[in-house]
Parts: sequence; structure tokens; C-alpha cells
Amino acid sequence: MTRRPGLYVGGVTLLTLGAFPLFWMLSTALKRSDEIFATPPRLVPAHPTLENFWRLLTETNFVVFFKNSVLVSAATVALTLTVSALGAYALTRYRFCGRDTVAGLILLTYMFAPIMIIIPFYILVKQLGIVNTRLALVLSYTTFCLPFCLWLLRSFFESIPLELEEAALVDGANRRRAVWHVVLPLALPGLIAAAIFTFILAWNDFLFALVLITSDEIKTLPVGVNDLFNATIVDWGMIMAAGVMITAPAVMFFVAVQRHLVQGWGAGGVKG
Amino acid sequence: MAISRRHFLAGTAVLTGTAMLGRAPAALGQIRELQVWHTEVEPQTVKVIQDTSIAEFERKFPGFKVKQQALGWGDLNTKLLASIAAGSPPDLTHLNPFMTASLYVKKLLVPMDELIRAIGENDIHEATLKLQYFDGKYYGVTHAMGSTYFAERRDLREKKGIKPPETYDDMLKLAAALTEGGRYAVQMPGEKLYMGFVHPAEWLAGNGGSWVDPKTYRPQLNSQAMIDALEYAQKLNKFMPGGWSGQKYLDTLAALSTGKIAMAYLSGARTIGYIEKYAPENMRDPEHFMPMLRPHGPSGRVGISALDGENWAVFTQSKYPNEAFEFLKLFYKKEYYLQYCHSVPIHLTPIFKSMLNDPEYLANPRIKKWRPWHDTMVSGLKAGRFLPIGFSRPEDNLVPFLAELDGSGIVADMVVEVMVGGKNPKAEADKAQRRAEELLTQLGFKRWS
Amino acid sequence: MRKQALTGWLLLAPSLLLLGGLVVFPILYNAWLSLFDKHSFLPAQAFVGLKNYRYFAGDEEFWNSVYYGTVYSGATIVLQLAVGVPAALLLNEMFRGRDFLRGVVLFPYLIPTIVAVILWKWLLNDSYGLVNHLLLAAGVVSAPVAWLGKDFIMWSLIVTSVWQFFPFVVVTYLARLQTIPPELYEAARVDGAGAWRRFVHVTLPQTRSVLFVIVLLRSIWMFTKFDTVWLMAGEGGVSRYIRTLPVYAYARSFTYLQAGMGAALAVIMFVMLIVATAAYFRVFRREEALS
Repeated sequence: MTRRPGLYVGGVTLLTLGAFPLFWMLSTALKRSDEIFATPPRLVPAHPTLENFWRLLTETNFVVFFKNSVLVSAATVALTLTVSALGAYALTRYRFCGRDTVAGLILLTYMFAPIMIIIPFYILVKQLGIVNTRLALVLSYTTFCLPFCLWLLRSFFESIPLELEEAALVDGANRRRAVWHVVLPLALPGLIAAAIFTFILAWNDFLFALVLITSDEIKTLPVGVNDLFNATIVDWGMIMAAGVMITAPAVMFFVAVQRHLVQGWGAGGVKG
Repeated sequence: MAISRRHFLAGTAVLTGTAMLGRAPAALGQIRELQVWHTEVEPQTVKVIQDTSIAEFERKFPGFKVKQQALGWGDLNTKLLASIAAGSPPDLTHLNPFMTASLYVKKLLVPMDELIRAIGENDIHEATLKLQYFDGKYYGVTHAMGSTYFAERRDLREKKGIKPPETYDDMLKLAAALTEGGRYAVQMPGEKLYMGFVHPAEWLAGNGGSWVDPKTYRPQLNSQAMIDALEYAQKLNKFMPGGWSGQKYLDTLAALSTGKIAMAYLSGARTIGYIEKYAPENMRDPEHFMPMLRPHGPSGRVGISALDGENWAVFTQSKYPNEAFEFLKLFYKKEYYLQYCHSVPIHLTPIFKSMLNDPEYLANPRIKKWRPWHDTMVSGLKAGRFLPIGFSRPEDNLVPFLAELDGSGIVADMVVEVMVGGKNPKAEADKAQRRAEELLTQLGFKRWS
Repeated sequence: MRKQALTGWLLLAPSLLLLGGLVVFPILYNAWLSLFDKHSFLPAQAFVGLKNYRYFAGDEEFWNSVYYGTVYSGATIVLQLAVGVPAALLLNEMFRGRDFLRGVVLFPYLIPTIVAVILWKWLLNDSYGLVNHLLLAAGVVSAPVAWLGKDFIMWSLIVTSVWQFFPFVVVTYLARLQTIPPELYEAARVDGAGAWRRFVHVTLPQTRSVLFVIVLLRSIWMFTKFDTVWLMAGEGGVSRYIRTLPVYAYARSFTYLQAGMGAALAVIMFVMLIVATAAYFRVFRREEALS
């Protein structure tokens, strides 16, 4: 394995590309106001301070937004995984007419961007009487995660040989146990990949939260942070602190499970 | 994987349940909520309202809780309309003055004559009293007034020996003189609302023009008044920083305070907060920073600038209209109202004539220090130099589609193309006129032939 | 067999219910709504048939938004590939820190759009932004560039979007790269092929189908992207220069307050995508790549 300088140059470029903006965000978050507006800007703060974070947590509703985002994202993951696992299983393990049409329809729903369905969705949500509730968000996030999860899990289930389940059934297990103990563990990478993507999509959504939620107590992070950004005094330090606090959990969570992720993407479908 | 199936299913149920319960407002038990929306997002203002009017209201009306929501100005219209569509608007809210007529015409507002009389009809300043007076009744009352104007570096202008500009030409000469050494003379906010609605309204008002023909409602975007103003704006653009259209109103205040520009095009008393925070210490005073009224155009008499002041309104669909009015009576109670206005001094100027010269009001430290700013507003009001935001003439309070015109961005597009794009003013004005006529026809307001 | 089918449908039912209620219904409702003149929030409405569509055919703003949308999606896809594919190739090689780098390269994708936009607006700020500072210090420009002003806002938007989404290309492409049998490369090396020829003759053919998928999906998503574009210029006057079709549809519904017209734009977008996708498939004849 010869050491090629080009490789390391490329590696460093990639590292800078991926991580530097985030580093800059962190650096700004740790600066005092006078340093933030200083020219020339310093890479590392001369007098690092946690006051931006402190102000963020005590003077704004950030904690409430954070709580809402966590609740909504977790609920979306739970709901989407359950429903899509059931559905994907049905699509791969059962024979029934129309099965392939349904699979094709799933692809079709990919072509609907959220912006296209926002008004009818709003009206639907109004009819159901759930405007301005977290449930409305959970349901709307499920709409964009479900097709993808169905597709992803379908590929995974397809790649698990039927014989394994048959073997379990022959051993006297009923179908449910066969699934639980045989199929799901093998499909675990796919489930994790689906869970990560669903979580990230729900965590990051802006449009639906903007339109469906009006009161501060239910707002999620993206909309809450946008409010801060448009507030009376633009406080770059505090905004960057908010950015750090939103990004950190997603990044940490991801770093912890990233190995499964690449596997998951390799075998199944993909979404961006 | 060690999670047992039972735990997983239970977890799902709990999460979904919690998500479902996140319903606002909570309407359990005997507590009734009075929903009050407003646009004063400063934490100290929210606190003052909570500690004064809300506290007393809840004492007087046990069984009621007041829920105040401070909304950003930009969000207000969308949220309000969405809530009306959902059949549950707030009980009491701020409205942009140019929205009120629109809602009145759709029969969504409740008259408030009794409230106006209770708080002192004759004491309310003429500049705001009749703004929401339709068909013989009052449908709104202004929460506080805040005048806007240029904020200038008076010291720089006086060093050049130039008088405050009265005409467009004066202004251009001043701008040319003050653009030097890396500093620009002036900067306009880049938001569509300001550069594409509020300021064009001011130009029309200060140049003898108006948004629409009063009888037929035909838009007049390609009137000579507008074209003159566009030409003026195009020339003024040379003296503004190149990236102004991508920056915001608050950025201009920061730029003024840090010396990057000599005049902020749009400024209210909020600028004082920026000056106190970001200007060099030895310059934080009215000798250096002062308001300056606007110049007029060739066909106008005096320059007009916007008077910021949302009005309270109550909806026909409101759940507790009577309690809303009772709350407002407490809001305007002198001792509470004074504290409210002091929470953002000078920016929130009382609507009552008696309070404008009241020593107790004037004793506030910031008002004392920046007294010339307050005086400019008072004398400006007397001289009729202000019109409510978005109005091109006083009667615009009756025009029912200003909100839609603003929202369409037609005027903003025209201004941006002329100022930043350098296009021909008449051509762009004609294009905007066509689009506006189409829009109003689509909305059903066409009365011209 | 029947019992099998029944269970199958039962298991699929929740998915169908959610998809039907939350996706199919809104889409059909959109199509229906587009035939009306309706105020977004008030009950007034009137049936007008295809009038909204005829209006847009002649609407300069509509064609502007198609133009901006095409420029935006075209440029971002090309650049996402131009950055993502080499990055994936790099990450396919063995070197120290590779696994760590694989994780890092995904960061831009993980953060909410609002954070990415705020971050880049801060970097590109003409007075205090780092980018201008570096350009000035390196002597590349003599005065701060207004990245968020009229002339460059589209570019700033493109840069932000490429940064945000190139990791998708990286991971997808990399996953496929990892499944290419090393023997193929060995054979090529034995034949005397250098790195570039190995890429052209081994890698590209092997990854054609995944590239097909990447371009298809990214095209769909960049063409219909709303939040990045809308947040970039927000309520500023310059938003006019990045008013893509999804943003125009949103404006018609929520600021012009004409729900019927917004719905018509959404339907137009959908039809455009279907047509483009069908053409794409026909040209590349790769239906099996997606099953």
C-alpha cells in the first residue's frame, strides 16, 4: 500500500469540507460579541465563553423546542418503523394480487415533494382537528418517511432467505416468533438505517412545522431557531450556539451507529 | 437485541400517546384561556404585560388564564389567517394597520366603541384615532406609536455644513458628500416588506401619489409619482453598500452604529438600543446620532415616513370578546400603560396626548438622554409628517387589499430590478402595473374598466 | 392461499392507510383544488376549470421560476457529483483515519437545513464573513463581495446546497464501490491499465446503475427543494433571483393567498417530474435498477 500524497491532500480537503464549517460554528458560538464582529476574524476565540449557550438556554424557549423535537422525532421513528416493517414484510412474504402494483405506487409517491401537499395536508389536519399538535407533525413526517422505509426494508427482507424462517417454523415456532427471533435480527442493519433516516428527517423538517404549529410550546427546533434568527436583535453568538446544540446530538448519535449505516445503504434503497 | 417485544410495543404506545397529548391549548377542567397575540417580542415587554395587565386580569376574573403569544411581525399575518381558517382565532390580537380594512370588509371584526370611550376617546392622538374607524364605528385601537425616519450621523453632516435635505436632489447631494473613505452614505433594509412596500408607500406619500385611484381602486404603480421615486431610488443606490439587498433592517442599524454607513434609511427608536450596544462609547448620544425626516419629491409638499403602530382587534369568532375588552381596559390603565411604554422607550410612545408631555413618562432615563428623538416624533406628528406603515395617503385605511399587494411582492420585484438590477424605471413600473391589475382582478377587486 | 393473502393485506393495511390518507388524498385534493379560485384561508371559492393553468402558461414569473429551478437543480446535481464521486473514490482507498473521515463526511447531511443556511449566511456575510476575509487576505478580490446580494445569491445557494447534500452521493456511491470485486481491478492492472483507465473501464461500468439512481433521485429532490431555497433569501428583495418553482408555489398559496393557483403550480411540478422521469427511463432503459 504505497502512500500517495494525493490521497492525503484529498483526505484533508474532504475533512475541511465536511467539518470546517461546523468547527467555525462552534468557534463563533464560544466567542464574545466583540470578538464575533472583529475584523480580522479569529479562528479560535481569544477569550472563549459559554455565555451564548447560557443565554440560549435561559432566555429563550430553546429547551422547549428541543424537547418537542425529541418527542416528535422519536414518535415518528417508532410509528414509521412499526408500520413499514409490517408492510415490507407483507410485500415480501405474502403472495397476493396487486402486490407489485403497490410496490410501483411506492416509487410514485417518491415524486411528491412536501411543498406539493402542504395546503391539502393543512386542510386535512384542520378537518381532523389536530392543527397545532405534535400528532399532526408525527403523521406528516410519517408521510415522507414511510415510502422510503418500505422500500429499504423490503430490500432487506427480500435478501433474507425464506429457508431460515421455514426452519424456525419447522422447529415448532409460530410465525410471529420466527419473525422476531430470526428475521428481524438479520434485518437489523436495515432497521437501524431506516431509523436513522427517519429520525434525521423528522429532526430536520422545517416546512411542516412552520405551517402546522403556531404556539411556542409545541414548536420544534428548526422553526424555533428560525424565529431566533429573525428576532429583534440578531445575536450571531447565540444562533451559532443553537446550531451547535442542534447538530451535536445528531452527529453523536450518528457517529455511534455509522457502521451499520453504510451497510444499510449498500444493500437497500437510498433517499436524500 | 435485548429489547423484549413487549417493551418495544409499550414504548411505541407511550411515545405516540405523548405526541398526541401535545395539544395546545390545554382545555381541561374549569380554566378558561384568553388568547392574546401581539408583536412585541422583547422579553422585557412580555414580562411587563405579564406582571401588570395579566396579573390584575387574572385576579379580577378567577377561572381565566391569559395566554400571551409574542409573534414575529412577518409571521403574524400567516398565523392569523391560518387560525381564522381553522375556526379558532385568538381572542385579541395585534393587526398590521393595512390588514385591518381587509378583515373588516370580510366582516371578521367586532366594534369597540365602548372601549374607546372608556379609555378616553378625546385623549387619543389624532394620528391614530380614526385609523380603524369604518362606517361610523371603531374596529381597532393602536397599542403604541413608533415613528420611523432616517437615523443619521449628525456630526458628519454638520461637519460638511449641509442642511437636512428637503427634496430628492438635496438628499442625493448629501449622500454623495457622505460617501467617502470606505463608508457609504445610506443603507436601506433588504426585506421585501420594507424596500418593497413600506418605503414605496412613503415615496408615493411624499410625492403626491397614491397606491390606487380612490374611486376605482385601479393601481397606480406606473404613475409619474412612482416613476420619479424610482429614478431617485436608482440614483440613491450608488451611495449604498453593494450587498444591501441581501441584508436586513437590523443589519443596517448595526452598520450605522459601527460607522459603516452614515444614515440608516429605516430607523425607529429601536436604533438607540443598537447605538448603546455597538457604537464607540464616546459617541452614544444625540449629538452624534439623530433622527432626520424624509425629503419630498418634485410633486410632493413634505416628505412622509412610516408610523409604526399595530392596532388591537377582536374577532367575531373570538371565544371571549367581552373579557378581551376588559383586558384592554387594564392594558391602557395609566400606571400599567406607562410601564409598557417604558419597556422599549420612545419606540413605544403612548397614544394618549396627555401622556406625551407627562413628566412621569418623560422621567425615564433613556427618554431623558435621548429626548431630542422623542421631540422629533412629537413635532413630526404635529406637522403631519407620518402616515401608518404601508399607507400612501390617510384614506388607505379603507383599501381592502393592501395585505395581498404586499404579499405578492410585485412592488418589491419592481424596486429590486430598478435599484439593484439597474433596469429602466418606466419599463419596470409598467410591468408591475400590469401584474398588479391582474392580481386585483383575480382577487375580485376590479372596479375600473 | 386466501388466508395468506388476507394476512398480507392486513399487515400492509396500516401503510396503505397512512399513505392513502396522508399522501394520495392530499395529491388528489391538490389536483381538484387547482381547478378553483380559492382564497387560502377564507371560505370563498369559485370553480374556474383550467383557468389557473392557462394563466401560468403566459405568466412571466412562472417561466422565471422554471428557469431558476432548472439552473439550481442542474448546477447542484453536477457539482454534487463532481465533489461526491471523487470523495467516494478517495474513501474507498485504504489509509489511516479513513473510517473517521467516512463519518465526518456525512456531517453536512445530518444537520437541519436551517442550521446549514444560517451557517453559510454567516460564512458569506459581506462584512463579517470568513469567506470574504480569506479572499481579501489572499488577494483574490480587492473589496468584500456581496455573496448574498443580487449577483451572487444563486451561487451562494448552490454552494450551500452542494455542501449539504454531497454526502448523499458519497455514501451511495461508496456503498456500490465496496461491492466491486477486486479481481476486476487486478485483471485491469495486469493488463497494464493506469488509474484513469481502471476508472473508465472498470469502475464506471460497474457503477452505471447506481449513478443512474443517484442522478434520478437528486434531480427530483433538488427540483422540488423548498426549505434551503426559501430560507436562503427569506423575506429579502433578492429572493426574486432564486425564486424557484416550489418557492413560487408556496408564495401563491401563502403570501398571495391564492390556494387554487398554488395547487395548480404543484400539479404542474408533479407532471413535469413524471414526464422527465419517463424520458429519463426511456433514455437509459434501466428499469431493473430500481426494483
